[in-house]
Order: sequence, then structure tokens, then C-alpha cells
Amino acid sequence: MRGSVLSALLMGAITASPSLAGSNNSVDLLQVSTGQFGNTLTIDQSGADNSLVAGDRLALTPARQIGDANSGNITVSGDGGRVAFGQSGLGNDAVATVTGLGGLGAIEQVGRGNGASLTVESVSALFPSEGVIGQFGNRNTATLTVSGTNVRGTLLQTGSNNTNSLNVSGQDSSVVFSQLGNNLTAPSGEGVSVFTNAGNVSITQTNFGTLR
Amino acid sequence: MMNDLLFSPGVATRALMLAALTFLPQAVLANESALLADIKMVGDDNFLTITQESGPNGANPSRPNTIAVAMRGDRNGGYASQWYSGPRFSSLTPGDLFQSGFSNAITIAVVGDDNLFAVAQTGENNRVQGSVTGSFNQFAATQTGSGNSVGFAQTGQGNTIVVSQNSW
Repeated sequence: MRGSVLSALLMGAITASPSLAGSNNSVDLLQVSTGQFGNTLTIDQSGADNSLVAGDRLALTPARQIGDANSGNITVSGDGGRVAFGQSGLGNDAVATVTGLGGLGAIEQVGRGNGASLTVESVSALFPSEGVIGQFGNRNTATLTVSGTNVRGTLLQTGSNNTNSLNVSGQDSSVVFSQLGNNLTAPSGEGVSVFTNAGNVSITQTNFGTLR
Repeated sequence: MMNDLLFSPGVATRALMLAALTFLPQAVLANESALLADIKMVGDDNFLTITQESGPNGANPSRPNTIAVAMRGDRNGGYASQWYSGPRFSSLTPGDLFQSGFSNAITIAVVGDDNLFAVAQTGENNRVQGSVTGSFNQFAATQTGSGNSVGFAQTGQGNTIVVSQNSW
């Protein structure tokens, strides 16, 4: 799956997420690094509902950092929070936390040696939350934690020497987990764990074959 | 009331007057009834303090305020090698642009290095829009209220964006 395809999926999920009345704050941004020193992004949308972090106010594109050695840290703690964040380059780091009813977090990384960590929580089955991480490249690391009721977690990695930790828990929760590549590993004592009743779980691991 | 200040090497009379008072080129506007503060600056080491307030002690709340800053140079916006150090960054000193009320707007366009800008907005449906081209620039914004938005683009290296949005 190409990055652009994932972007479409991510933004489709963002725009289709349930809406709750509230504060409706938004951040849209683009950071482009032109040298060896990466850029830094910190966003805190605590205490407000319906907050949005994206690349535009209509959430048609993700907020994006382009270049190497960038870091992004995003915290959204109100209901209806939506985060779509993308990085492309080498050695980037993305951390996002979305807590509250009906939250949605999505991180996309394209490149090598990137790290993504996403935590999404919701306690209401009427307003479930969803977390998505997509990584395309080698030597990437992903940690996705989704908890609550009727929540959904999706972790996609394409490339070799990638590492991930996926933890989804809650009643009626569902998981999509896909790895394509060689030498795929999980941190010691971690890996994929799913605790759910009546949820859908899809796990796909595909080896590229022998490298020459 | 409308303010339209132009600072450049060729048109620097007012900047020099202010500099004589503080030994630094700067623009200070306490603009209780202004609708527009339009500032263009060319040079280094400039510093801004702009306050626009709506409500009983400020401008007509039905007429939103606008701050527009266009700046070319280095180390503008404030002094601060050790700026932004914590969450919620309660004291936004560098640049010190502040608006309160409804449907206000701040637009900042900066070209240069080592510039520092802080923006604080309190109210509803306020907007910050900015662009920075250069390296090692910092931009911090706090918005308190509902329906607020920040749009920002940075191009360069070693730049920092920090945004805090909270409800009432």
C-alpha cells in the first residue's frame, strides 16, 4: 500500500468521524526542514472539545513535517479530538495522544529510521475511538495503544527491519495489523496483544522473500 | 482608528524615536480601539509589543481586530535564547502579541533566522496565520476559547512551533 493511499484512508477516517458539540479549535500546519537540524512541533489541545490537528481546516490533508530529524508531539484531551499527522524523511519522531469520546488519531511516516507512538482512549461505545499508524520504509518503530469500548486499532508497516508494539483492549474492539517485509521484530516482552470480546481481528505478515 | 506603520532602513523615523527611548528598535502599540495594526519591518533585532482588546475597556466587540506583521531580518520579535521551556508556556514574552475578543486575526510573515514570536488570543473564533522562512526560529501561540484556529508553515531548519489551545 502506498503512502498516498494510506493518506486517503486516514483522511477519510478523519472526516467521517462522529462530531460532538464543543470548542472546535484547530491547528493546521506544514514544517519543512531544509538542513541537518530538524524542526520541532508541540501541540497541546487539552481541555477543549472537537479539536483538530491537520494540514488544513477541512481535514483533507494531514499536518506534515518534511525533512530529517524532525519531532512532533501532539496532545488532545477533549471529546471529539482528531489528529492527522504525517512525517516524511529520515530519523523523524512522532508522539500523539488522543483521549476523550470519539477521538481519532492517525500517524503516517514515510522514510527510514522513524518512530511513531500513538495512544488513543475512549470509554463510550456510542463514541468509539480509532488509532491508525502507517509506516513505509525500513528500520521504523511503531507503538500503538488503543483502549476503551468499541475501539479500533490499525497498524500497517511496509519495509524491513521494522519493530512494533500493538496493544488494543476493550469490548467489541477491532484490530487490523499488517506487516510486509523482512526481519520484523517486536520489543522484548511486547508485540501484538488484543483483549476484546466480539471484535474483529485481522493479522497479516508477509515476507518479501530472500534478500540478495 | 487605523494604524499603518512602516519600518525600513529608509523610513525609520518613528523606529528611531522609540529606539532612543529603549536603546532598541521596537514597535509598541496599546491599541484599545484599533481595527487594524499593519506593521512591516526590515532589519535585525526588532521587538514588538502589540495589544488589542475588545469588550468594555477596548474596541467595539462587534468589530474584530486585526494584526498583520511582515518582517524580514534576524533576531526579531524579542530576545530569548532560552525561550519556551514548559507546557502551556504561561508567559509569552518574546514578541508579545495579544488579542482578546471575537473573530480577531493575527497574520505573521517572517523571513530570517533566530526570530521569536509569541501570540496569545482569548475569545472565540480567533485566527492566527503565519509563515516563517529561515532557520532556528521559534513560534508559540496560546488560544483560550472556542472556535479558534492556528495555521502555520515553516521552512528552514531548527525551527520550533508550539501551540496550546484550551477552552474557557
